[in-house]
Amino acid sequence: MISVTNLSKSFRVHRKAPGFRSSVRSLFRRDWHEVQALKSVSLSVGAGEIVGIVGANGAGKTTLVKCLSGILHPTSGSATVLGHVPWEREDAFRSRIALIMGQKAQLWWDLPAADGFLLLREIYRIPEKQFRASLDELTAALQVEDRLTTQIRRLSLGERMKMELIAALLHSPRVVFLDEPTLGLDLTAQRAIREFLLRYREKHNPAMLLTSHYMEDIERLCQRIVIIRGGEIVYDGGLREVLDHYAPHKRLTVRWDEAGMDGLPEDILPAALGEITGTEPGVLHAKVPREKAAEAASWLLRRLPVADLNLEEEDVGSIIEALIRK
Amino acid sequence: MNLPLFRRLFALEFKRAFAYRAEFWLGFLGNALTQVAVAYLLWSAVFASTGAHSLGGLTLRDLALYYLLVPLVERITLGAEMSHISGEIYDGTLNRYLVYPVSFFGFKYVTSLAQSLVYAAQMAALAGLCLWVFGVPPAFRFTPGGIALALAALMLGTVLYFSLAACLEMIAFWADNVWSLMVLLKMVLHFLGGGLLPLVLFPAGFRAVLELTPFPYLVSFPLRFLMQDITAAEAVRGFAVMGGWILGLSLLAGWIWRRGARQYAGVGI
Repeated sequence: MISVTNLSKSFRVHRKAPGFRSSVRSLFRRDWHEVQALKSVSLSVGAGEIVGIVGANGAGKTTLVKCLSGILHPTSGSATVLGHVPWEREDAFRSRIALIMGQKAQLWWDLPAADGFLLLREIYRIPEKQFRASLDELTAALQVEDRLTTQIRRLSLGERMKMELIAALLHSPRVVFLDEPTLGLDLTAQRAIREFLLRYREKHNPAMLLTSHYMEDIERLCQRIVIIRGGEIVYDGGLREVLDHYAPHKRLTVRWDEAGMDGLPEDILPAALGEITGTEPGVLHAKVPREKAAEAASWLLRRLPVADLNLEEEDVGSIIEALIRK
Repeated sequence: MNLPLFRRLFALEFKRAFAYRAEFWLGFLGNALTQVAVAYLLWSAVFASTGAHSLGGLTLRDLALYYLLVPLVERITLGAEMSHISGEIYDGTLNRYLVYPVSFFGFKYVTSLAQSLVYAAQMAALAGLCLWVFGVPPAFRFTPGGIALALAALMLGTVLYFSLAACLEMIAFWADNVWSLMVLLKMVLHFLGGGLLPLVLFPAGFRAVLELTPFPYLVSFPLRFLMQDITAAEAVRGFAVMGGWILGLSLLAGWIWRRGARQYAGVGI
């Protein structure tokens, strides 16, 4: 549904030093420099997939989403979404996609949501029956039935975002771009939106591209992630596989009974089985190679009066964080 | 632009105009009444000091009605809202029109037309009231044909101004703010279009040149049909010049749009 090949985008921005003198100078001469926002990005996304685009601020996530939704013209490379070139903006393309931006309202600020939705019904030419059914389904799922007649600018951030979601999904798009849909929302609203998106995916099977700074969004919604750093894709694959690639270790925590023991023996864990990362009275933390985890656990069980043993995956969120910032 | 969308947009803009009631009445009283009152006092002084009965064939009563109708015409042709296109480019709200399957210019044109008509309805009510109280002054004659041609000129005027303003406002693709440019345009239009002074008071040579520019067609041209101050040949030539400008400016607007959209960054607040 989405196919991108060697997509690059650069922006020309002018640099201005602070202060009055440089403001006056910039009236006559400007220092332009080129910013490479995307460098030869390639990927493809199929129906029913929710792909998480992760990256630090300015990594190029939003630029990618804007190119694929037709807002930006890339500098080079090609892309097709539903068989159309996005930036040619044919109506047949635009009537089958949706873009939701957490940091930017798309609905009309001084109109009640209900009026905005009616306008969208005409824009997308949604038949009356289908429009009613979609609207009822979406407002019920997001629990905003009683807020429809309030001006958008008078709604809370969470309510506004829910209205934006409804507005974007009324015409049952086949491809949905979500740019930071939970930005600035409290935990309850974040959870409500995540659950809604999962249910929506199950029922309508669209391709979804999601950017978010909240690891929980990514972990809960996406089976596949694309990590962007400095405009380049550094990882594209399963969320779980990130662990195999970038987390060769598991975290092992052992609680043991100190009674009758005089501290830990020197060779309590041979180097081949892992590395001790910290000790507290009666507790030992170690990092063990994934494939040696079982062996290391049974070794310790034999050597110590173990009260509790815990073997954990490294936290996906922190691995991704580390990858983003590398 | 489909018809139901056109109707829906119109209805919404009407609703919006009435939702902001204070602005509705202030806009009505502030703009129109002050403009008419200042013009009336100024011209009374001119007539009193020169002792003349008419200027360029217009009596004081004609001028009073002229200045009452100028804001009505300008409201319709020049629209109520300024910088609506450049504003959307500057703050990035243009994004939604790029994503929605709708023509940005069509959408903006209908919105601005609907806004104009709300204000124009107020002004027309005021003009009607004045005509009823003070009677029709000598230079004016309201015939069905004249009114129909004036309305046709007004409608074409809305398209002409929209294409002219769109070309200038799209400079916002390259420069961050074009508000001052739009203020300048409105001032030039008000003067060269005949809003400040009726064009009959301008030298004939200058008038002939002006008639080749878009300016008079946005302010005084529609009024000439109500003042029977136009021959058939002048009317045909006027509509032809308007048509030429509309065609040229629309093509130019399309060209600027294609270039601007290519390097639009979609950033904003």
